Parts: sequence; structure tokens; C-alpha cells
Amino acid sequence: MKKALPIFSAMLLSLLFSCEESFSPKGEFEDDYALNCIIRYDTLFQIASLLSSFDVDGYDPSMNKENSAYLGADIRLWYKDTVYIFKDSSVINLSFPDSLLHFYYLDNFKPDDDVHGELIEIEALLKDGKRLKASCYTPGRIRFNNTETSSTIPAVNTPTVNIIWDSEDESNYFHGRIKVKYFETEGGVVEEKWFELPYTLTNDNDEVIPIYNVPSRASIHAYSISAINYAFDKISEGNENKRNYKISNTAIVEVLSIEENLSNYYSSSLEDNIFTVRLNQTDYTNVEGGFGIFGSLRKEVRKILIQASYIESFGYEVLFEN
Amino acid sequence: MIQIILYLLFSLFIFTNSFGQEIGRLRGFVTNSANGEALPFSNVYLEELGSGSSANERGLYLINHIPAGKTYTVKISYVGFLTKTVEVVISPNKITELNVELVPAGVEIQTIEKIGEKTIDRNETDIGLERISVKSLQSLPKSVETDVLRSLQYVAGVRTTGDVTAQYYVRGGTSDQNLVLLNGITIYNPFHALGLFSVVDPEMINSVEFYKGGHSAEFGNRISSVLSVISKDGNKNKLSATASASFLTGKFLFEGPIPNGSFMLTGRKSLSNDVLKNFMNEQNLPIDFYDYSFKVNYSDPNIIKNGRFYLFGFFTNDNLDDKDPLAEDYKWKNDLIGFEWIQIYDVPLYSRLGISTSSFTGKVIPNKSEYKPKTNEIDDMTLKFDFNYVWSSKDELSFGFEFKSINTKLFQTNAQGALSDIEEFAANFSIYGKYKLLRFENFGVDIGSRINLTGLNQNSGLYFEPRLSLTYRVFPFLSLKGSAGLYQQEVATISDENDIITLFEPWTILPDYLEPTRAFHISYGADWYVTEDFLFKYEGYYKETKNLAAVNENKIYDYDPDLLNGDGWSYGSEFTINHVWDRLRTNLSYTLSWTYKEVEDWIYYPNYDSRHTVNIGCNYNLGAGWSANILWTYNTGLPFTPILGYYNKYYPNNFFEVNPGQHSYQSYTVVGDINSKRLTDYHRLDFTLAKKIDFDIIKIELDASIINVYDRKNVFYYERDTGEIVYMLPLLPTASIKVSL
Repeated sequence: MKKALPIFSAMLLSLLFSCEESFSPKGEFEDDYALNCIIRYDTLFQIASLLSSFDVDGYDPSMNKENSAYLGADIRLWYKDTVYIFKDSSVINLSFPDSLLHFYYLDNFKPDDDVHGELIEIEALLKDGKRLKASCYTPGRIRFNNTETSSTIPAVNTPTVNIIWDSEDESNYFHGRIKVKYFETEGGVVEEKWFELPYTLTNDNDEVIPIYNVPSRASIHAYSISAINYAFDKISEGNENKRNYKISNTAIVEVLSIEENLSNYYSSSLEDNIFTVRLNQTDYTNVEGGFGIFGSLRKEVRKILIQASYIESFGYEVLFEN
Repeated sequence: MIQIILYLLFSLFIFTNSFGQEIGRLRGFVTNSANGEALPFSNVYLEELGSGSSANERGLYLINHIPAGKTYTVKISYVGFLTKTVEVVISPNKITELNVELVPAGVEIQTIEKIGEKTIDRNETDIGLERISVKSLQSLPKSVETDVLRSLQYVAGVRTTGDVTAQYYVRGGTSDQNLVLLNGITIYNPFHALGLFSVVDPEMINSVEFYKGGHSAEFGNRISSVLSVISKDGNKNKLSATASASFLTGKFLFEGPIPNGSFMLTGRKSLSNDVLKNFMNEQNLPIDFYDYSFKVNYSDPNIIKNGRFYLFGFFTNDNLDDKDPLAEDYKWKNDLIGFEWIQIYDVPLYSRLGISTSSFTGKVIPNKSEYKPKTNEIDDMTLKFDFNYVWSSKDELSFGFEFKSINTKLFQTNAQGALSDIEEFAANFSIYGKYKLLRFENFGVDIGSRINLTGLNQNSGLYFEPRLSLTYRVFPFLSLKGSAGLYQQEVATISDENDIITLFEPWTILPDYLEPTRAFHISYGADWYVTEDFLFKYEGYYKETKNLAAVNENKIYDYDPDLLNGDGWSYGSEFTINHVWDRLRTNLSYTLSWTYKEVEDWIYYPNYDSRHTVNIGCNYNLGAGWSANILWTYNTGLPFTPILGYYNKYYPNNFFEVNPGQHSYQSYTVVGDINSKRLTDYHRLDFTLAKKIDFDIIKIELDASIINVYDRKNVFYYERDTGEIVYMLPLLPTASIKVSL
């Protein structure tokens, strides 16, 4: 026992202190830049942003009060042998009214609707001569499957309302939604509003939660009637006078085809599971010489009839548009 | 019929070897008198000859080349048991059978039995081999409860990346290069609860052998290490039950005799998750796990003389159920079933036939979350037949074959959204043979090769894996040892080594666009008995790995490969001191090592590379059933990837409104070159106090541990987005109780 005494004494002494070494996870700061531009088919106004990296004292990047927008770059876009030069502008940042959002824009460009797989290139030339370059291909058109897609809400022959489409772009993500227009009369004032249909419902501690579609590679969306009922009920929740609501009998179906690079960028931006601890990161970018994304997306729209009897079953009036 | 052929074949051998010599052999099993369990690696020593042998992992020993017609004094010893002395007459040209039961030493025992240890098997070719006794496992400080995989981190040459995970890395190898065998059956996912604990309940273990390199030809398809665990057979004398509880689990063991055999049932279930918060940065881990096993053995001399049959099953299940319908769930399970036939022949021949299946399933169930479903299944069917013949000269010949079919299915989407949908089925047929030249008292050689006749991977083809291990005893107190060999592996996990805690670690057969992973090991060392109670060991190693399977971080499209071929190499030196002084047993180890990886022309240190590692452990027998154990661990900082700055990253949250001119930006961290900086050094002191109480029919073992006694703030990692530093285990008191009937 005597022989062990020194060991246990040393151990007890060590109880008297706790030690912590200073540690910094930071290396030497480097200037980096991010170029973001998403070319849309449904507008002639295309926007790009160019941002520079920054550092802060400590580890909380929200402490940065400097605007990281990079001004004065020459940004150009190439499409079908034509060069388009971006202009720069600023608007008030609604999140931080004391600051401005700087962006670059084109005010008269959109890819041709009937061309698929056309190359678009972008290049940003910085004041120090550094270049950021990226390219993407225009996505193809989505073709709705008229046979399998439901023609009415509720569907006649299937338990769910199905929206089904085909696309040649198998690597693309798609994002679909069904939205319904209605008019709400409140105090004699009529207001136009829209609501989106969830595709299913779930329960969390007895609370019903609607679930909406998110971008995915799936080319079918199936909406359960209980989820559709929920959305129709929800618009007048708390209001006994259902006749104050006039619902359009035409729902709008929109499906986006999200070009491959943008799909990858979106997918890599989803957060890991909270229990996974990943030491490194994979920051997807298709921008050479920096970070960010250059992609494109196009939208296809069709209409779907909402049965008048279904609208009336909630006590609402029907707005016949079709 | 097989028996007759083998008998004839080896009768020829024995005849050739023994003709004209008045020699005999001594063979038998060493078992525990209390329950009939084999005492693996126990020592059997012939006083008159000053030599002896050690039992194998099943308690079987064989001493050859004994001058016959004489009476010998045989001493049989095993740590924790009273040494037994038996007089035996050795008959010429035959095997004298001597089965010995040793009586466990009472809790009052003050000294450690060591008789014969020094002189037995000094020419054994055992470089790189660590035999871990259950007793030493149980005496280690417990972060929650005893854990066989966590205990490996105290072995020189073995690294972990932190207190939190039981994942281990051996001499620079990756974690999927470690083979874990339970009763000879591969366990593909040997961890519960995100890698925090091993699935193998220490209560069921009878022996543990750990090869940290240079493993011999009977082991295949892993290139780094082999952990072989043999479970208990079950009490052959009486029905008995053991129940125990810790802050994490409750478990039981029920065992007893059956006609001509015995059985064992074990079960373990998680009881509370509260203690896991200490491992998860105070985050609640809603995990539930259980495992259970059975083992039955049967031996009827009327059916087959000296044959024993085993049926074994082992099942584990983990569920991570978040209760939130918008969060995904995780499920893992292992199912192992095995049949063994162990046969001892009238000649000094031993055979083992094993037929087993091992399956692993891992699933991510997205529920209503945005996560993509993931599934991994692996089904392994193995037929293995091993033979071991011992000549009277002490030389041994081992040979056998293994047929293994593996079916893997993997369906997952990676972080970039790229899909992997892989199903592979392949079979490997391999044979091996090795010759152990042990006839010289001071010199031993183990030379052999594994030959892969068919491979799981199309690029494998016919491949030889020659292996050599040798020992030369220069002086009675000094042995020099060395080994070299080639190793091949054809399965790998598709999980990023940078995920230090991961929920999904799928296995797959190496796809045919990759070459099989192959490694070359060379190790050398010395055992120096400074005194009978003071052993100094040195081992140096160099390991080179070609075609290392590395996860393709840049898999963007479905058609991009999941894995890339890389290379790796590591080298180092390990120094170990084992010292016994009265009631104090001290183990000290120091490792100096370097590990490198090269993937796509980029050379870097993997995140488990540490330059200096020190472990100091002391166990003191206080008497009256009390024992105390302290353990201090130190290693220099592990590599990490530093923060270089931040930028505002664009998050397209709603594609219907997508517009880079809007406000969908969040700060994002810019990181530097992979693993180009080092964390602060790690050190920790643990303390355990244990008490054994013997009543008439009840035995109670109480155990209290303090982990991280001086509350060292060891850095585990930092949060990439916030820079928050996450520390490893804080000062953590734990306790457990075990009651045996």
C-alpha cells in the first residue's frame, strides 16, 4: 500500500487544477470571391451577385458589419455568339435598411424557349485582373403526361391528385407546386390571395403539419385528398362566414426544371444530420477561380380544374374562370 | 470418411517423424474448475525439462518431443488462478491426454501467479500480436462500461480520434481495414450508438487476440489489423446467472450445462440516453439499442470422439428515432449465425470447420424530412476449414481454405445529390498454408502464403499473399522478432474519414473500376526481459498501401465513381514496458509514428495521424477484494483543416422566387488545405476503484470510475460554421454493479 501512495497522491494533486490550452482553428486569411447568377426563363431581368470573402475577430461571421459585395467588376455573359454585359445597381437591403444590396443585372435577356442544351457562359473580371468563369446548359422543356396527370381536383379515378411529367434531363431536380387563387372579403374590401396545396400531412404532438414538395429528381407529385382538404379549410380558419371566400375553379400547376449545376448546388447546401460530425466540407461550385453558382431553370405551367361541388362543400363561393 | 483419410495421412507423418524415437506428447485442455470454461493462453510447464507450452484460444495445449517412459511434474498456471501441479507419466509414441481444471484464486489473493511465463514459447512468432485478457479489460477505467474496442486504444500503435468514438486506426490504416471476428465470423458494423461502444458485450468474451500487423496467412481480406474474439462456451458445471447495470445499459448472462455440453444466453439493452449527452456535446441522442446472443456446444464421444460442435448466434439492433416526423430515422442491425466443428484427432492434428452467415443492414428512413433514403445491406456466407498438424519436432503445419460469398446493396444520395445504386455479388475462394518451424529452442519461423484463387473484385485474379514471421532468441532474456507480408482487401466502406461521427457507413465490394487494395507490412522488434518481472518490448513498422479506397469527395453526378484509388504509407516505433512489483502492475507504452495519404496527387496527414502517443497504466491490488487502476494517456495534436475566412453563400431556398439579388445569403466558412493544422495535445487521467464481494452463492462486483480526473479540456473538433470548440469528455464519474449467482 505504501508503494502506491505516491501515485495516488499525484493523482489527487492533479484534481486541484483543470487545464485548458488556447486553441485557434484559424489559418491565414485569404481573399476569395463568390459569383452567383441563375438564368431564368420566365423573366428578361437576370441578376448576378459578386461577393468577396472576409474575416472577423473571433469566430462569429455575423459580427461582420462590412458589406462584402464586390463593386466595379466587369461581368459578361455569352449565349449563341452574343455577348451581354451586366450593369451594376444597388437597392436598399430590406433585412438591414441601413445598408444597400449591390447586384449586377441584365434587363433584356432570356434563353430561347425552344432551345434545349444550349451553352451559356459567364465571366467576371475583377479589378486586380482575377477572373471567375462558369458555364451551364439550358434545361429542356418539361412535358406533362396528359394521360396520367389528374384533370380535376379531386381526381376522378385515383385516390390522389397526380401531376406527372417527363423530361430528358435526368440529372435535374424538379420542383412542382399547385397554387389556388381566391378572393377574401373582409370589411367590404376584396383582396386577391393565393394558397399552395401540401401533398401530405403529418402529426407532431397532435398538431397537424402540412408537408409541401421540395426539389427532387422525382417526376411525379401525388397530393392526398386529406392534405388538399386541410389547405381549403385552413384559408378560412377562424372565420365562420365562408361565403366571404370565393375560390377560383382553376388551380395553377407549376413545375420547375432545375439545371444540373444548380441542382447539385442546392443538394449540397442541405444540412447534414445534426448527429453527424463532419470535419471538412464539400462546397459545391461550378465557378472556376472562386465559389458560387451559375445555373438556369425553366418553368412549365398548366391548369387543373377544381370541381365546383368540391369548393362548395367547404361553404365557399366558386369563381368560374374556365 | 474424411477422418479416416486424414488419419491415414497423418499417421504417415507421425510414423515418419517418430520412428525409432522414445518420445511422447502431452495434450489436453486447461479449464476453469468453477464453470468449465477454457482458459486461453494458459501456461503448461514441465519442470524436469524446463520447457512447456501455452494453450491456444480454446484452452488446448500440446507439448511435443518429451522423452518417454518417465514421470514428469507438470505445472499449469493462469493469471488469477491457483497454479496446479500434476505428476504425469509420458508414454512412448503416443499422446498422453491431460485435462486440467484450475481453481480461481479468491479475492484475497495478493500476488500474481507467473510460474513458467518466462520460459514458455520464447520462440513463438508473435510480433504484432496482443493478447488481451478479460481480467485486464475489466480493470480498465470505464467511460460508461467495459468495452473491448475502446480498450484497444491503450495498445501501442492504435489510435482513435477522440473519447467519443470507439472507431480505431491501427498503424496508420483506416478503420475499415480492421477485421473484427466473433467466433471466427466477421462483424461488419461492430459498434452501437454511432460508434460510441462496441456491440460485443464483455460478459460473453473468453479470449481476445489482436494482431496489429503482420497477421499470418489464415486471415484474409483486411490489410490493417485483426481482432479475434472467442466467446464463452457456457458454464459446464451448473446453472448460473449474472445481471449487471451501468448508467447506459442493463444486461444479463444465463448459462449452464446440457447433456454432453453447455449453453450460454446473453442480452443487453440500453436503459437511458442521459449519459450519452457527455459524448455528444450535451446534445440528446435518442438512440435505443440492444444485442443478444446464444451459444450451444455439444460433444458426444459416441458420435465423434474428441469432436465438439458449436452453434452460435449474435444479433444487434440500433434505432435512432427522433420522434419528430420531419426528421429522419436510422436503423442498423447485425445478424450472425455460425456453426463450428472442432475436431481433435488421435494424431496431433486439430481441425476447425466453420460455416457462418453475417449480415449487416443500415437504413436511413427519411419520414417527412428532405433527406434521401439510404440503404446498405451486406450478406456474407463463409465456409472455412482449417487444419493444424504438429510434428514431434514441434514444427507445425497449418493449412485450409475459405469460400466466401458476399452480396452488397447500396442505395444512397451523397451531399452533392449524386445517386449511388450499386448491387454487387461476388465470391472469393482462397487457400492458405503455413509452416511454423519451431524445432529450435531459440529460433522460430512462420512462413506461408494465402492464395486468392478467385477475387471479389474483377481485377483481383490469382493473387499470392506471402507472409513471414520470425523470432530469434539471442539470449535467454532477449528475443529479436520480425515479420513481413502482403495483404489484400476487396471490400471498403463508403464513408468519409472526415465524418468523425457518422450515422451511415455503408460497405461495398470494391467496384471493378478500382484495383483491389493491397498493402505491404514489415515490422521488426525485440522482447527484453530485464528481470523476470520487467519486460521491455520494441516494435518498429513500415506499411505501404496501394489502391487505397478513398471516398470521392467530388462525386457530383450519378455516373461519377463513389470511390477513388489512393495510396498510403505509415511508419513508426512502439516501445512498451510491462512491470510487476508486488501488488502493482504497470504498463507503459510510447509510440512515435507518421501516417500519410495521397489521393488525386494530394499528400496529407489523415485525421488520426499523431506523432507521439503515451499510455501509462497502473493496477494495484489493495487486498480484501479491492483494486485500483489509474491510466494516463497523452498524444500530440491530431490534424485538422483550418478556417481561412468566411463568405456570404447564396442559398436558393425557394426556386419559384430564386433571385441572387435578394437576401438569401448566409455566412459560410472558407477552409484551408485538408488537415494542414494540428489540434492541441490530448491528455487525460482516469481512475477506477473496484470491489469484489463474495457471499455464499452471490458474487457482487462494484466498480466506480472517474474519467478525466483533472478535467482536461481536450479539443474534439470545432464547429465549422461558428468556430465553437467542442471538447471531449469532461470530468465524468461513472459506476456499475454486477451480480452473479
